[in-house]
Amino acid sequence: MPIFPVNKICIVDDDDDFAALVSDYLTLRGFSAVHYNSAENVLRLASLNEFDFFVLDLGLPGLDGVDLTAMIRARSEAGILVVSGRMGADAFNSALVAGADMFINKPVRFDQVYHSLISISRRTSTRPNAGLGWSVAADYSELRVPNGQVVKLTHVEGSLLQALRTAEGRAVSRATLVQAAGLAASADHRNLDAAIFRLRRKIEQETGEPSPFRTVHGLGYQLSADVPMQGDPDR
Amino acid sequence: MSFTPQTLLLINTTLVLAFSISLAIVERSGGWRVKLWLASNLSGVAGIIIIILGIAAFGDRWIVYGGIFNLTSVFLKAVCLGGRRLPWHLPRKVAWPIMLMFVFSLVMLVPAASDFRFAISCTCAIMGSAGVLAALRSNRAWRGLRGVTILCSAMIVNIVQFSTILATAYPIGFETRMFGDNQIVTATLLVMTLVSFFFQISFLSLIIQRRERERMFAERRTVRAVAFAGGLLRSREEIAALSEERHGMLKLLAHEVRQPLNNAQAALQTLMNDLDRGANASDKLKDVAIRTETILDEVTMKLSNSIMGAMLIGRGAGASLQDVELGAIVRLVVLDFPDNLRSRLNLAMGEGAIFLPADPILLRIGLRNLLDNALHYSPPGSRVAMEVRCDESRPGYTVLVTNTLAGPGLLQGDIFAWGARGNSLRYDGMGLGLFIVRETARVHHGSVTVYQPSPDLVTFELYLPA
Repeated sequence: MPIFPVNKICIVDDDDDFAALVSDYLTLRGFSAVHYNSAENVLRLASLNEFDFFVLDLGLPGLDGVDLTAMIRARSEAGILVVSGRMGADAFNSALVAGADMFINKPVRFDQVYHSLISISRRTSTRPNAGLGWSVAADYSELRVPNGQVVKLTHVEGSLLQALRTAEGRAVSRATLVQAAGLAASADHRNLDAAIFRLRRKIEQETGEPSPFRTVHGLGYQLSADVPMQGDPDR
Repeated sequence: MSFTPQTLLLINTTLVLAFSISLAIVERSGGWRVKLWLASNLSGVAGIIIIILGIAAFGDRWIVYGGIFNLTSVFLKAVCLGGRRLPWHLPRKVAWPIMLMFVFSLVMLVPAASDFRFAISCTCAIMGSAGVLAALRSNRAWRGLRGVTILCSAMIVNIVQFSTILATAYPIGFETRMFGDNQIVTATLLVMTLVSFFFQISFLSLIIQRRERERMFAERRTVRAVAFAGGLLRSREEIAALSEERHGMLKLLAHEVRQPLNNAQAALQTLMNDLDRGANASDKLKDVAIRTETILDEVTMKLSNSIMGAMLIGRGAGASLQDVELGAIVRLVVLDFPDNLRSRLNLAMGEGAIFLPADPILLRIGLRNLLDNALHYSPPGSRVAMEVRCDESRPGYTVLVTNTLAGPGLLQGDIFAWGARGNSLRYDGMGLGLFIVRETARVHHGSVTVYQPSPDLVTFELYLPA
């Protein structure tokens, strides 16, 4: 019997065989599962708010899976697992950007669906202030993560974040970052890479969220998310 | 009416001058041959004028002074017609007669030989003509051009004429002067004028024909180059179009074929769940179900591998990487395996989340192949250890997969090459597995290495930069 806050699951896939099989399996595992073969049918025959979890295919007739994901996300905090036969990376990206929690490409097994469901619902249950986004204290002593948690920053880490923010989303070279953080310069900037890696690990381990900056191969680093200053309405 | 030698010579001179001016105008681009020819004409004309005026004003001595110019003129013509790319490369056939001509002319300066002057002049004329003729015959630049025949004929006429004159000269004959008898002189000069006339025209036609030929070759080269480039462009477009079509087919395959296969797997799983639960399900039935599941599993994986392998060819490193949680993918990969194989896997991974830039679909297939390889090239039932480690030095993460070696000789050669298959009789692989692992590493800016921690174990280490 399920012990999570998930009770009612909705499966939307134009492949009836798959949808029926997954639905049967989940029912067997103790959930209440229904399936539809198009987005229109879901919208027509049910209400999106009555479900705690969705398993969606991307390639739907009519309104496609990405738009349906966005629609669901706009209305509720239900977990969304996208299962799609597409193998291109663009499918993954568009699904996540639209608000899906996880993407698995087919072939997918029942237990993979089940385990993903568990890990997603565990995550969503600890999602207190979703939608806040990142923000940093004025003195760069701490970083607020989108899920509400706070990560303390060392002096070096604060300087690095400041240098990245100054570039406003553009890539910053390693040499610039080394200078900004006052690190000892070296030919391959190993200590910079190590410092950034440690900061990323800290954010990931403490909060379970990815860090707001990414490596630009061959160049340096850049911000991958907006990090405004706390208490500043116009960043 | 009879022409005095002077008149004829003047006519000749005027002709040559007229031709020279025409040549200069027509061949404004010059080129060393034309320049030499013009210089030769000028020299020849100067020589004749000096002889005529000199003899009239100062006496016979001036034949010598004029003669120098004439010799130079012949020499220049020989060089112009006989020279290769660099005018001073005269072939021997040409150089000898010309040199002899100069040697003989020097003899003329000796006062004692004054009676022989006429004979020597004729000999010089013959030598000069022979040299020019040799120049025309030996130079490939004139090959196939129509003017050459006329030029050669003119030279032959010259040689014949001067030979007959030589026959009359002292010591063979009695003449010691060029212009002894008016009639014969007139005839001689007329022939010389005609020779000169044809000579000049033929040279002009030679030069023009050569230019035409070169232009035609250049045009042909341009046409060929343009056709080639056009052909290349078209084939490049064709190849791109074909590649697009093939890619489209693969995507279609990816979707249309894998979908029903996936459903068959799912149906089989449901069946197996029922069998597990049922009390009177025979072992044989369960066995068949497991075997069917394994087959379906392998087919799906081979299909995914082929499609992914094809999509990887030509794909640049770093293409479409995004932040992905490694733990989720690793757990997914472990679940990708059916129960009987999954039970052999030991996974050691930290609890916290790990994010790195990756292509989740490619990474899943890459890791799947890594594990699949370890499971199938080790003794059945043996443990396969998988560990995810954080590597602060590089920095990044390494996935280490260790298994017992099924037999000797499995690690020989380039095991990561496409088509390289181990010699395990149990497993009929396509040789794509480790190729995909290597390509996965490449696309992620990482690396894959293999080493043996002990003689009967092998570890594959996949490094992924953070």
